[in-house]
Amino acid sequence: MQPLRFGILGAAQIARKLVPAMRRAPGVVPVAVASRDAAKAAAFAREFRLEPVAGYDALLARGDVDAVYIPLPDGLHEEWTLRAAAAGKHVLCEKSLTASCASAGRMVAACRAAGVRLMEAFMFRFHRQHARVRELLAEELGAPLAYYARFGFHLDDPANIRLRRAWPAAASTMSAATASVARDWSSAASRPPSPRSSRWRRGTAWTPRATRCWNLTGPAAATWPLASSTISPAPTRSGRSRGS
Amino acid sequence: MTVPRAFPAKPRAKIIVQQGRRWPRTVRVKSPEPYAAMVAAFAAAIIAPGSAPYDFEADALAQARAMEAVRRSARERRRVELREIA
Repeated sequence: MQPLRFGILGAAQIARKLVPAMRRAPGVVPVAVASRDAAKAAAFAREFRLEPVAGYDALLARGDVDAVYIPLPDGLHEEWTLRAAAAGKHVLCEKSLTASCASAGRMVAACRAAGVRLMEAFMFRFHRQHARVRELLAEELGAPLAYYARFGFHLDDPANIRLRRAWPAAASTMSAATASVARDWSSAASRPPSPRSSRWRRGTAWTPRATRCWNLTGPAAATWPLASSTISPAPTRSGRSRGS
Repeated sequence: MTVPRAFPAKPRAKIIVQQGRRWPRTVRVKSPEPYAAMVAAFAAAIIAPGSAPYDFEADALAQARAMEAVRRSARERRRVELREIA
């Protein structure tokens, strides 16, 4: 069977994790990487044994690429997803795909019309830790009573691309991850809390450093505090769920 | 952990997923394994239609709705009903 040949649209940091993962995935072959900066594409391509391509359009025009991975800043996701769909390429797009329903609708419609697939890259859904949490929620704990998540990383460089006003990437990326986990965990527990469960796992010391906080309250008295920070003293990712 | 005032009762169970903790012990949070699994699932859905673990496009639309709800709630300083994001 013909493997799925991937092109990487942008030499972003996160692509450094995805390219080796593509090599480990059955039926997948990473082929080329594109950057607006030819030298950057060449350096990335040399490091990961890919073909360098100058410019994203040039990569979309290649006949030896079936799908593209888009790790570009969030503000560019719609434009390049639409272009990739028009070029007949399947799209694996880094989170957050978009923060707008209208934009998501345009992207999904374009991909469906072109007969290509569109996936938002939420790695956690395939992580065995989260699979275990889903298992606990579904089989032992039942619907959670509270959910708290924080996700932060260093952003102390004012020139960082994530801080551009036109591309609100940082906050969007992190709230996407925490919101997606809340959605995933809430759907995993379709039954009421189990009265017999007594599992209690202790974690490390808790120091809230959230700069943004949303409370998500569900039916049956379930309360879901959801937090995300754009600038954190230390890179942190955690999710906690409480139930009875 | 700060328990919100609306919290109905003292919880009797807690789940923690945290970066750097080896739980389950066989998989580290930073392992490339889940990235590879994600890419493999995407490829499988294309190569063998119908084999996707979930509807990618429907999930993208639902996630965008959740993002809008979360942003709206932050702007309005109010809580979001779970049904708005689920």
